[in-house]
Amino acid sequence: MSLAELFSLLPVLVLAGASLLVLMLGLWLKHLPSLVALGVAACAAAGALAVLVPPEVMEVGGMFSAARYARFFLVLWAGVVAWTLLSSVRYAAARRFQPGEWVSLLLFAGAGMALLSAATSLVGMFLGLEAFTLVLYILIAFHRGSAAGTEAGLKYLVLGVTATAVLAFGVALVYASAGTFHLPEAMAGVAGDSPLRPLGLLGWGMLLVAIGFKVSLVPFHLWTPDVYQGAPAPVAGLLAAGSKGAMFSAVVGLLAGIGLGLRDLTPVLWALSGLSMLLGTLAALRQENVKRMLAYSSVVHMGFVLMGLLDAGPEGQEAVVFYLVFYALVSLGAFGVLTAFSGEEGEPQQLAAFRGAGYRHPFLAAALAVFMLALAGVPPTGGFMAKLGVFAAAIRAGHLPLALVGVLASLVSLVYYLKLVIAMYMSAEGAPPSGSPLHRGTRLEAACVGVCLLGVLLLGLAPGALLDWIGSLL
Amino acid sequence: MLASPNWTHLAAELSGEAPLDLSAGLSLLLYTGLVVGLVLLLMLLAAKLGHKSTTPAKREPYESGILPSGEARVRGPVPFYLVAVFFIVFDVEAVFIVSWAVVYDRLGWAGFAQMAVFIGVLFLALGYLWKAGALDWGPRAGRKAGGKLPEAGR
Amino acid sequence: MAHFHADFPWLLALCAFPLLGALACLALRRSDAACRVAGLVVSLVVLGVCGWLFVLLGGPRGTGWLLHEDLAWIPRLGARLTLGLDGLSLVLVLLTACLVVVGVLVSWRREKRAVPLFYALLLTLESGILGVFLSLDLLLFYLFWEIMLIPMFFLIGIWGHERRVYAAVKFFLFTLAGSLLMLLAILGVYLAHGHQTGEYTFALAALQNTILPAGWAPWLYAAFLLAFAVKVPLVPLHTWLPDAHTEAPTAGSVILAGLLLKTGVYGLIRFGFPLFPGPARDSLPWLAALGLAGLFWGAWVAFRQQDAKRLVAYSSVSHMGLVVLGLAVATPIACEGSFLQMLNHGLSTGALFALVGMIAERAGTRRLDELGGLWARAPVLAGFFLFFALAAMGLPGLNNFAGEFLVLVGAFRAEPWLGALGAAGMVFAAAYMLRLMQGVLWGPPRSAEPWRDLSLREGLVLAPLAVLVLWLGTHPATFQDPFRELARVLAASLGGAGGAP
Repeated sequence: MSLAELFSLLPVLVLAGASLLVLMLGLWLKHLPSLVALGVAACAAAGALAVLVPPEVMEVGGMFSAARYARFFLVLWAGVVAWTLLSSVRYAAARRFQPGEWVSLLLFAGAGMALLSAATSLVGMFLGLEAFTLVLYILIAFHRGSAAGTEAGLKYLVLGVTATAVLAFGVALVYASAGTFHLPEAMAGVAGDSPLRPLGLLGWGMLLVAIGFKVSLVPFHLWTPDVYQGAPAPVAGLLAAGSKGAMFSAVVGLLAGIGLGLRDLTPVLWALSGLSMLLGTLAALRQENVKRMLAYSSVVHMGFVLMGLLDAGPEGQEAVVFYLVFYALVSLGAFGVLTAFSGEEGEPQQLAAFRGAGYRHPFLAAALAVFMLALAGVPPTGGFMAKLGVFAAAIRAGHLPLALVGVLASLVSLVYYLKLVIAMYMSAEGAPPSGSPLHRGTRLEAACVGVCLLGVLLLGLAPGALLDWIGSLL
Repeated sequence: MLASPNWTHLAAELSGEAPLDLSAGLSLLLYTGLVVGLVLLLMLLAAKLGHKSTTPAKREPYESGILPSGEARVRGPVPFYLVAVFFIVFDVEAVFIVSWAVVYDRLGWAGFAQMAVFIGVLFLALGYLWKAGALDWGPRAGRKAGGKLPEAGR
Repeated sequence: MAHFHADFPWLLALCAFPLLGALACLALRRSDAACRVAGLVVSLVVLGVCGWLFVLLGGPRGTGWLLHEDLAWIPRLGARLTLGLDGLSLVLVLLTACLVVVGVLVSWRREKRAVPLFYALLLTLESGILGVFLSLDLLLFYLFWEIMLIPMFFLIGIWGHERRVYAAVKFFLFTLAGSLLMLLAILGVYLAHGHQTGEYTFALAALQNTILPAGWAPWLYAAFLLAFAVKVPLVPLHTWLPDAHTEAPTAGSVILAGLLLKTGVYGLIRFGFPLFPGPARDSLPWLAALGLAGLFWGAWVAFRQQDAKRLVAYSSVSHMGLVVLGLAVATPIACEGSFLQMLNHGLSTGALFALVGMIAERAGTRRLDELGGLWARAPVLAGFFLFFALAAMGLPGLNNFAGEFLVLVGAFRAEPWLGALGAAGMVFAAAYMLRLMQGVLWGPPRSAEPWRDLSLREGLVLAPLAVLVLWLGTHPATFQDPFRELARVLAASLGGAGGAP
């Protein structure tokens, strides 16, 4: 690995190096806010380097790209991590999280997600994926006092390791069929008249299973509600915003390389997407627990993203990337509000706990209401523009029935998103919220939520700039 | 499935030999079937024909006539697990280092630098464990952590 | 237009200004009084601008745009901020501004909970409605179309009556079901046009010329029609309306009935018909049948109601049935009558909902068998009630008569039996309105406690409306002139049977 290559990887190295530094520093320095400040500074530095310093080589070691697409996601994930760090200061302090480990793990997750988004080979993909999945195993169970957290961590570990094994097998089969790990070419075995086509397709199927696990597509979604429910709210936000988004950003590259072979995979992708939208919606309808509802909602949204991927052209990819940015913003925001509402004792999770919140916590509740409407895809939020893009992609690719399924899912999903809005604003008068009262949220938390709120609204009202930017990446 | 032309072709390509002789596979299949069938038959016969009597003494875990005392689960001290985990971690690292050492002359200084970074990170991890108290053994560690003695095994 | 800064984007400002007002209300949330004043000032300013536009641009007009703005928005998708004002939207925008002021005034001291939020939502709603009446870009239109929905959902759900949450969710789901299908249809036209010409755009003017792939047009039109028919509402899709109208707070009912229903018809005229002229022509008999069904069914159900507010709500179904009938017979006179009737219905039903709200506030009930004796207790209020009820009934000299008359004349020219049926529907209207008047105005008072007569604020709401109703009844030409030519063109494009008068 030459110096030029290292230089091209510099933003990721900054994140990973800062992670190590914070970890060591945390042994002596137990002051969470200053470590968080250091972490945020590292994220900012990585982001600035990614934007300002052009890479010397476009591909590092045949595994990771340093092109604009990868840099874009690096900035996004660095932002996500910085946001998570800032919004969870009080949350982490109240639960006595070990400061150094907390900040360090989050930074490392950011580095892993950036690597995954930058992967140009199956090995790079595997490495990036494992780098942050490993961190998430720890982060999900980070709150040692919480039994639900431990359970969630164990479930994620067992299923995650299974998925990893399947992924590794799939990568090996694809390699056997194509003779290379490098991405556009590795997919060649699937296309056309290659004699090893069955092997490639089998490998692809295994990749799909593993990806389905990571982004929780039906029928591989079973871990999602339990893990969301048990994980600390900021980690659940990171899981929704970052881990799924990073996985999908890599899948965009996978599918781009597959070319004509997409036709054979289309029925599978079609079914995965349709099932995710329908079953996720139906399951979410029954939830009384907000975090579980958001978990199933993420299943539905991943179905939408997959629908956008069915159109392999640049328009479809643009729609998917836009969707990922929107989804990162909105899920960070929603879990950020949950974090801000969390007191010392626990997080508010039951719908009943939010009764009347609209009047007691005007800003946070209004933001949460906007996030719910955005998730439902109602204008003028970014959710509408995101769904518009994937619907257009589906119609363009000739999958009108799937788009109709999406419409149905959107419509029904409104019911469960509105449940929360109704609890906050329209519950019977005088009905007190059950459980401990919601926390008021600090100024920092409100500011973090405000950033997401602004972003979600801007994506709905003036998405032009972001769309142009994304268009220049692909 | 095995007869599919693609698969035999594949097997040949992967192993670099002539296509597999299918008759060898057939005899293996036959042999396996015979073995499994025989075992199943014996078990079935024993279950059907054998005389069964259950007494409380027979249900004891040990048949030596000595009644068990205490629990079967023995609590081991936590540090053992830690040591086991550290061993595995560092053992795997050793694999990398050894494989580098075999070809260090061909990798040159670039390889040396990479391995130096790798080992440096390893030392950082070791230092972290040391400082965090993971290497401390026995009651002292507990006292350091919270002043409360950890419950050691019996 | 001499003293008129043509460069200034007046229409965009008109849409954005209430939104700014809404933000101001949220910023002033410490003081309820300040929010009320802010709400009133903003809505009055909008009314002032609209009135000024009407004075400047009113009068007999052709079919061109009186004002047209086109600003960049999302270049990558080919969506632009295209807004246009023609005679029809001019009148509807004026109606919007009027009724929002009414909405602000009728809820002045009535709504006590979360006042800042109330006015913020009301003003957001105004923005959405103005945008729907002005936008000429399909994506922009859809955006405003949905923006209308959210504040209304909250208005019903938070400040409504007993079954408010049920009504609010039902309203939201019904409307969204239609509009999501419309979204797919919009995308269909957009992609087809882009595929043909290589230029992806949401502009109505461009999409009108799209040659759709064979067999697409009826389906796409059906999706548009569904979205608009839910809003109008046409008869099998109307079941959200009585619930929403009955449970909504007074201001919500006024705006729902007065404005949101008009957006459905307006959407049909502006987008549905021009985009798909062929299927639109084919659908006219069905529309006529549904319009007539609405006319009779609404009237019959209204007649059977015990709840005064529900009665007025069903009367809306009936009146909108007549409006759709007027469009469906597609003669210039009938179309003109439909346009005029949209305005009329907005004014008189808005006023009736306001009045029912005022009476219910005093009586504590809206049931006809528990009301009564208003004439003896609050004569001025009763006078207004009688006036507007007679107007809604179609008494000559008051507003509804002019519109209904035109529709019926147009229908007679096209198909005499259609006109005859429509006229029969008018008799039904008389029946339920008489029942409403009888139940509310006459009979012995049910309780002895004295009632406050009309307050100054309520007078300020009702008197201008009454003046407008009289004006429209005696000299409808003021409002008819701007859209007369449009009605002719619409009828011609729909291939009306009657021909020009």
